[in-house]
Amino acid sequence: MDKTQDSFDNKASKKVIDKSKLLTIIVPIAAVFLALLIGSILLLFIEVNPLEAYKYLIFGNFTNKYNIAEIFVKATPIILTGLSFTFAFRTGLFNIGGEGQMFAGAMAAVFVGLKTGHLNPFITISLSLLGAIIAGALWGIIPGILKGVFGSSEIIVTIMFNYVALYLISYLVDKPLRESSGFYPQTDLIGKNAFLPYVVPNTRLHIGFVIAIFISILVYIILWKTPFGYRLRAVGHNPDGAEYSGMNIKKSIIISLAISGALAGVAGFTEINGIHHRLLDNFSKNVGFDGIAAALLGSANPLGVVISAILLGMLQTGANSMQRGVGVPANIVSIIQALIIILVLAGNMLRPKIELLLNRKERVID
Amino acid sequence: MKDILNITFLIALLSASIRLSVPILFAALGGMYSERSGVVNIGLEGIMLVGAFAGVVGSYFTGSYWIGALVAVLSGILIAALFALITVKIKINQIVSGVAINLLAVGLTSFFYRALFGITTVPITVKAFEPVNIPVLSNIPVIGEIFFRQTILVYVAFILVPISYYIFYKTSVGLSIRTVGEHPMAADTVGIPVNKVRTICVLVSGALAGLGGCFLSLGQFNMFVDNMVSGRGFIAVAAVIFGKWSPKGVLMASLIFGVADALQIRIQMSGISIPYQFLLMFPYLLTVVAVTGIVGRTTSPKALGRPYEK
Repeated sequence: MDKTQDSFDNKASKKVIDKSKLLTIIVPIAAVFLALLIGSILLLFIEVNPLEAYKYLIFGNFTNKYNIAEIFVKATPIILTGLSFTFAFRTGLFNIGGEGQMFAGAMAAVFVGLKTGHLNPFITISLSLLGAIIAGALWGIIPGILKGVFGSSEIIVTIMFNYVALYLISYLVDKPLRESSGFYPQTDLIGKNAFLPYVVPNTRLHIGFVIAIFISILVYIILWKTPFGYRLRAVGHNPDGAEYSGMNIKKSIIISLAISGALAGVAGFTEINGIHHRLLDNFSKNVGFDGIAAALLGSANPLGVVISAILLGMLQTGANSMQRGVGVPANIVSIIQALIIILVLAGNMLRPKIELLLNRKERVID
Repeated sequence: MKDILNITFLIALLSASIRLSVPILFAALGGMYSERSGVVNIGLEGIMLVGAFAGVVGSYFTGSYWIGALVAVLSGILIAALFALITVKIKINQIVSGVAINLLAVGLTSFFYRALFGITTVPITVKAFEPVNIPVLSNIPVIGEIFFRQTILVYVAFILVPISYYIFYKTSVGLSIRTVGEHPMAADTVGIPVNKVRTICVLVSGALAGLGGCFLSLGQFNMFVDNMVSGRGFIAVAAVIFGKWSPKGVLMASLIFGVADALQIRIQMSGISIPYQFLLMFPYLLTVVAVTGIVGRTTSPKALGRPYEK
């Protein structure tokens, strides 16, 4: 009797767990479909057949090796800025400044690449990476200090620093680092040895993608598998409790934002050394915000960020082929992207209600 | 001679300061309503962008900037309604929602601009608000030139300050808003519909931010350009904090940003050899200083950022 009761309980609880796991996957998928559905209304508005357009959006990527690789090329910096947002978010902070921190990293990477690009590839690339990490961390630690010491809103400060970095780049490529011919507002190419090696021949997919994956594993380990990460998350989760148990909140905030900035800084490095090979105005625009999108979609965990970043990369490259194919402005993807985020977040918030609804139905069936 | 130059310079500077503070003032007043009720709205940036775009569309297709402004207000309310739905009703984190609204606004405006006007190299220009000289007052030397030869929307923005003051501190509606933001549970106990008040406040913020955006496109530039709000919505959020959530403070904060912006433009034009990029940074750096400097003396609404659950 007891035994059957037990097994019944087990079964029931297992069912619930399965269902909630299933919802974790179903919510994002449903969100994507719903967002595409809403997008199709916009397409009808501009008199384009949605099916035709989506054919390009989704399958336009898979026509050849180069295009498939482009998905991962696009995803690379998004993974890194996504990890940047994730790191701060998990420690209770909103870093909306991934964009600026990426720019800071790019400035440092270009500077190092220009000065040491003739050295041994391993040395110059390592130096570029290091420079980008330091510059990104610097761009993150300033808001961190202002937040930790003075209590200024890190949201506002990180956003403002995006604009400061933007204009700093504009100045650098306009005056001190302008290319030797002086024609365009951009720097010279960095030294050949500072170019990131390609991992798939005849595509633009560079080793930065591998670095991004490696870093996402590192972030996972740091945040979830070390006492250091545990402390940072504890401060984010319950600042008062953490302070009561003797943790230094100020220090924790400063360190978190520095690391968060450093992660976004690496995105600047992969974009410069892997793709553009020089600094130019408006390069890789919005990648910082795409990172926030990826982090929100991926429920702020590294694996989720990687998957979401690849999804966003797919949408963005697909959007270009859609623009070429049926003349739909590629910007429609920004709308779809924003809708996906809103729907996923709403889905997650409404999850208890959805679960309740599902369980209730089941009870009726039983 | 030099004195005359200085006076004209000063008048031009102050007149421009007033004008440049208006978009921020509109959005910051809106942000004040929303934050006083307990909802942080960093979506102001996106709502302004939508307002700027909608204003141009309305003016372009009807030839009337009044209808443009109306369309801007309505679009602002519409986007704010979405924001209210996801923050107040569904209770998604307000900061995250704001970011999502901003992304949505960038997408919507850039997509519809291309859908409606095609891919143009030169932005289309539209009929925009023109300065209105207020009789008698505009003839007062100096002051008349600074304050009373502006566009209608400028006057509207400044009149909204005492009106907001009156609403917040002299009416029961204002008391309800403040109670909801300070102590939603208490508000609920005495029968104030917390989430309804918050929703309405968010809608008000949408209307005002939409108007602020419309002032950019129909009062300053006569056109729409992608991302033309360029951080003014965020600066407005900072102005609310810097202005300590009061109409008077918000007015002062907006004016300071207006002066900063006007000053940086004048210095650019004067040919002083500071790279213009550093001058462009100035308002943003000032914002950082502003939100840092007021620390310890801020009294934010106590329930700010927290959704209300019965």
